[in-house]
Amino acid sequence: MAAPPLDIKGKAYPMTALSPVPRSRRLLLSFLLWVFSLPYFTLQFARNLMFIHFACWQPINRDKFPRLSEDQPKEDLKYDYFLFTTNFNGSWDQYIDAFGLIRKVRIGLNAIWFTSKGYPGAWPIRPFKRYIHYYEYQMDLYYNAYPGMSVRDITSATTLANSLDRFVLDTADMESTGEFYDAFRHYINEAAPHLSEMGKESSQERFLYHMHSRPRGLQL
Amino acid sequence: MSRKKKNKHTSLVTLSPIEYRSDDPENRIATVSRTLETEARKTHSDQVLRQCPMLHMARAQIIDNVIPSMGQQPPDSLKSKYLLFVAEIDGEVDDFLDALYNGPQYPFDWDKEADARSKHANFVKNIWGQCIGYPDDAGSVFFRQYMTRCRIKVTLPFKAYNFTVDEIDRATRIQAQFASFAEANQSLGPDDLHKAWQDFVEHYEFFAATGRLTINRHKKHHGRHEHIRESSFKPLRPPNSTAESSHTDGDQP
Repeated sequence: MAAPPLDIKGKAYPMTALSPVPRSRRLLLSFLLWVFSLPYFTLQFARNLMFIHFACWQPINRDKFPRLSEDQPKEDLKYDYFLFTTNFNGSWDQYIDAFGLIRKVRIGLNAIWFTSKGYPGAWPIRPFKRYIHYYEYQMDLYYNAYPGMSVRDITSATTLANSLDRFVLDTADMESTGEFYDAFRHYINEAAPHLSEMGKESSQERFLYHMHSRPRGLQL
Repeated sequence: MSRKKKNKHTSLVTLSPIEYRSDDPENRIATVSRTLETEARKTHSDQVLRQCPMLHMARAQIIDNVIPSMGQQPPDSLKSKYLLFVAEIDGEVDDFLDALYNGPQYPFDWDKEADARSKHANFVKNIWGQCIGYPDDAGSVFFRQYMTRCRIKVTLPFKAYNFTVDEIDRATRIQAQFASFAEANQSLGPDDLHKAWQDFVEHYEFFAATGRLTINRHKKHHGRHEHIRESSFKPLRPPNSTAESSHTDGDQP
């Protein structure tokens, strides 16, 4: 069996895209990002998907590329650039499909990305995939502290741990066996959905590798 | 005294110029690339980044050029190659960079600590040490200063959950332990179950480290848990459980 690719760690897959933004849209992009960063918005559309661990959207103005030495030539770019990094569960196709197919996500995505040069919109899906794929960068090193866990696994484990903390405290003073028995029976029914087993890193890497083994360029 | 609120989560994005000469006379690109690939091929537990306890996820990529807009003439082109480093961490950036540069501390094993320190310092030297403007002086302070110069402020970060790495690790262990307990004791009667539960609680890993659940062992014997933060979980006991408590129906948990 071929070795799994280096950019997949367990259930998580990273993506980095750097797309050009015309200078005339710089202020608009900054304003949109500021609006979306307000507490009111909270990027709920992304949170509801339950498969994105972390993501960030970041404009890099054409004159803001770090220049740390006098010898280093100054960059002379026509466009600003829009950096998008994300860590998600599942395959690349599933991820992009979700962006295109779910209306609320599509609206949010279009609002953030439409300032990018040539952005075709998140629907129809084929030009959108081609656009993302075109501006995507190869990963050199990727690290994930909990490779066997998806967002749902983490939510499940932390939900269980917190509820178990309370259950341990609630039952600490119970002297009656019968009372404890009833409380435990009630608790175990609530906790049962959160008792799933985590994935293993190596098996998950192989699993995802096979999902990714189709050459993406050919299906566009 | 200023009271600075400690960040729960921070997204660190840095862009460090590596080389602008096309022939790369000092093999900087090759050194960085080789180091990243070697690190990427290590198992999870052997990775240097694994020794940073506050690190959720990280990536490092060599940006050798921007991808020009489709059809743009002449195409945009970078004059230098850059290293993009993105890390999702708990707490402050400086703490993470110190951990990355110095490695873990072993208070009672100086040799081991020296080995770890050397390994981490070499890792930093072989990556950021190859970049333009990296100070000749070794030390985590200079490393932090350098990364500050390369840092790009993140405008719109997103995180799906608000837990630290410690909390997630602990939750995973608790989940596994409780699943084993539930599976092993599912056929026990009330008396044996209560006894088994008391044994389980003796080894239960309470979570007081981050203050998410503040708990005092002696207080619980007096039934005073008023300082425990309310969470969104449903009541754990069934309504009127005391009055209706019975174990005569023969149902097992």
